[in-house]
Amino acid sequence: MNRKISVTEVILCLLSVFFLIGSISIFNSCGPKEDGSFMLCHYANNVETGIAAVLSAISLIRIFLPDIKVKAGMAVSMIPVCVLGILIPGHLVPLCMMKEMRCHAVMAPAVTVCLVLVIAVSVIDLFVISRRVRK
Amino acid sequence: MRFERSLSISNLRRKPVRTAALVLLTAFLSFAVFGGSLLVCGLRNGLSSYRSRLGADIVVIPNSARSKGTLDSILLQGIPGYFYMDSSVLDKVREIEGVEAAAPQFYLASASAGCCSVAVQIIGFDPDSDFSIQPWIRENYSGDISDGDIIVGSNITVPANRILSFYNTDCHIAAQLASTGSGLDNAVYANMNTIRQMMSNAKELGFDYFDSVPENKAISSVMIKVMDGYDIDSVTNDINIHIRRVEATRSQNMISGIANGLSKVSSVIGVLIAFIWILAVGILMIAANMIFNERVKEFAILRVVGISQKKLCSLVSQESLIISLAGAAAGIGAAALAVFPFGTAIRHSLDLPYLMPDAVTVTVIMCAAVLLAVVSGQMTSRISISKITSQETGILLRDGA
Repeated sequence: MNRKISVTEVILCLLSVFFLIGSISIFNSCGPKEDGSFMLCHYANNVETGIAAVLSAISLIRIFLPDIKVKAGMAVSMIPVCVLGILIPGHLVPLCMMKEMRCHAVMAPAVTVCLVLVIAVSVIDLFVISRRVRK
Repeated sequence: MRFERSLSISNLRRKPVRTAALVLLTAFLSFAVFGGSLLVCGLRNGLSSYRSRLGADIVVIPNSARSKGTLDSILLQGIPGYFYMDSSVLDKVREIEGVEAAAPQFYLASASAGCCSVAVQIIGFDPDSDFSIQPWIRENYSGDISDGDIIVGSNITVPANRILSFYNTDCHIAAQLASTGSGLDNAVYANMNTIRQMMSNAKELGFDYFDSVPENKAISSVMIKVMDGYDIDSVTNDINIHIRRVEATRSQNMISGIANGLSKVSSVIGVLIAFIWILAVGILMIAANMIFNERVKEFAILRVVGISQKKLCSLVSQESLIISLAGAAAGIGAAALAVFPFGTAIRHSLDLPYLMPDAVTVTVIMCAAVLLAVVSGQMTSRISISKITSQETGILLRDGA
């Protein structure tokens, strides 16, 4: 048991919450068409928001968990969720036709950058945890 | 050497906050140098690609084009537009002395295409006379462009069935062009018969783009190549004087506005890089001085236990090298995450042609950024340590105590 909260845990939580807020505000998808219907990228954005909520919940819960091995397990579980998040815009869910549109120019790159950072911090966090376990 | 390296690493590990602050400062320097240089290179690449794609000496457009959305906004920013004049202008242009070749082009803005609420610029050309579009289409596609075939710019996503429909005309995507970093990437290219079909369908669907010009006689612009030995400005003036209701412009003049904008942006970025570099080196110098003054006693003890002056310098140099490399990696990584994925957004916000440099140029810029970080680190640490090593060990021990 180790109740010490590491810096990487806090950064991970902040990144996940930023991703959640960003996916519904700063880097959301293209707006609705003139007839009020939504384009495909809107649904990709909805899935990203769901993934961001899951990541935020995992990273927030693990801060308060005492067992370091459970924390490590949760950090590992975040990595495939992030990979799924990176694959959604443009690969699993198609985006709009023009690459100049907001979903291509802002949403997809911002999602990739945020999730790559979450993966990188998760790996660093795992490294920190493994060192703590060894001690 | 191994002892020095392990001692340097231990020193850095023992003071994590100090090390992190120095790494952050170096990262800031590398971020500015790498990111800024990539931006400047991207803008220069974009301009040179745009210049090579225009391919004509003179462009003739109807006078009304100035108010309806200019040619440069179509070609540079990719804002769909249209303007038409009677095809008789083409014959008149061909009669002007000094005109070697003249080719018509057709511009048509699509209604919302496919899934999205966005219009696409459709550019038509006459395969028999065209000399400005086909040469660069040939760089990516060597086949024939038959009726119903289209070539799409790099910013258009190709659907799985390779069919796009414009004004009820189903078109087969024959090829996709490489990126030019300009509005040309947002366009769709078709031959004369295909675009005439689209124009006719557009008219049937109630889109009245063509004013009083019959759609089967409408052209948007004429691209002109001037004969060798003739002055381009004189030919331009001849066209403006002899042909009514058109405006002939030297393509070089269209580019000069962009080149001026680009040169201003490049200068601002260059000044910013230099300013950040001077600032970062200054702060590094002050930080190194303060840190080394704090560590005077540590250096004196190392001298007392038998470490030579040269080894002491090497120790400090190794610490600085580790910090510089870590900072450069962090800064370059952060700049790469900001510049590469957001290339389209950057181009959009700058409103200038922007084309990412190739892998070799990126590698060269990256090496230069790392080198600059290392040299700055070595320079500041060497200057600071030389002040300390120039004093007697006894004095250092007494002052540092």
